Amino acid sequence: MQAAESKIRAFQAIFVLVICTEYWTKALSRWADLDAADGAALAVATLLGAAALSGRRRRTVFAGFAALQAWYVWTNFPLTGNHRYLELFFAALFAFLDVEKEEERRLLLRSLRWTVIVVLFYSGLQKLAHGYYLEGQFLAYSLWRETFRAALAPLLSSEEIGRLTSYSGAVGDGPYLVSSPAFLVVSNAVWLLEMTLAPLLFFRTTRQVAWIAACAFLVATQLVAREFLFGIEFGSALLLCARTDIIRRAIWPVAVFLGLLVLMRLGVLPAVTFH
Amino acid sequence: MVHAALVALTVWPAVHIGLVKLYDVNPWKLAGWGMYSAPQLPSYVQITCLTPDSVGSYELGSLRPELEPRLEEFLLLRRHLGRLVEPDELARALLDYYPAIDGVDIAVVEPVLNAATGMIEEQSATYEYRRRLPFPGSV
Repeated sequence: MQAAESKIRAFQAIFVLVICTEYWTKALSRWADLDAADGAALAVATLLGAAALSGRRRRTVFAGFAALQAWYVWTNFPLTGNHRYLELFFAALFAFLDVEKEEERRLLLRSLRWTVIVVLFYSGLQKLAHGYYLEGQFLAYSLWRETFRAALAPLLSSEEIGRLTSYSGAVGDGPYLVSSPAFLVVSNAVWLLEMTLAPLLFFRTTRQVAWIAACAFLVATQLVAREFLFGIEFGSALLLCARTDIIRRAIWPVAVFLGLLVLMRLGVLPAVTFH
Repeated sequence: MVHAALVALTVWPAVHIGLVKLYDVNPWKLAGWGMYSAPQLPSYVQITCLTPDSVGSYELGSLRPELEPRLEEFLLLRRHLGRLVEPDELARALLDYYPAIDGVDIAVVEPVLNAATGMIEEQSATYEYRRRLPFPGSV
């Protein structure tokens, strides 16, 4: 098996595990009130997942995943989280392009990488465009969230953290502005890194250092945002930018981690907040 | 086909930023990749009913339970699609439910974090609906 094919197969395996975990964790969090549509979606996702991992009729299975995610986007619109659109796009790519044909495989790998670049770049551009990171306003506002507070409090004086956490987000509250230079550096580093790493992932000469830096950045942001399922999916896609097929070695750790998330939802393990 | 999809994937977020700027569409939603780029603050409505008698107008303090789903649906859509969504259906339901009133004014009040001042401020848009005039009417 060629390196590119090996990488894509590994990414497909992680992708399938993430989608199935999404449906399971969502269903388990409201098992008693699970409606017929969500129950059916859970069953379909599980069957598709089993079929994909068994390796039979993969493109048909991914067409099924694309249809499932399209249904989800449609029925939950406009509440749908962005990762669902991303999953729909990935699944459609896997359905349209044949990994076993060299030309299509090359296009598939490039398309996956390009998607990563687009998502990362626009994540930064959106933050810049709306202006809530230039003076730390968004992060200051987000201190009401425990995970943001734990990560960012060391960058603020006790007076400033006291002032910012005393606000309730009501009209008239503020100013959500900070004077701490370290806080402002972190706030601006977020969009700067996203917008810088994205083009660096494009060029072969800088791709290697860029994917490592992007993975480190992703881990740091996930410790705060706790969007674990999106984080795993996007992090795995970043591994497609590596020269080697390191992503193959990520399958089992990812599977174990996802299993732990399901066990948390089942109540077997202590609950940790994640989205 | 794949190339067209990649072009759409690349161009859409730029359009999305424009929609956020022009219509207050939620940057977190609709595949614009703007998660965590702006706070999401809940909006609410103030409803004023207009009467043909000497009362003139009165503020509707609470909605009847039958109308609550319409209000919730509107607020949910408004929160994510911004000013692309207007309270036409809610107004229609109110006019149907209260046959004695001549019209309703629906003020949508949306708290926003002012990026320049860092203060949470209120912005509102009022939509006027009159029984004898075509929908919608906003000021």
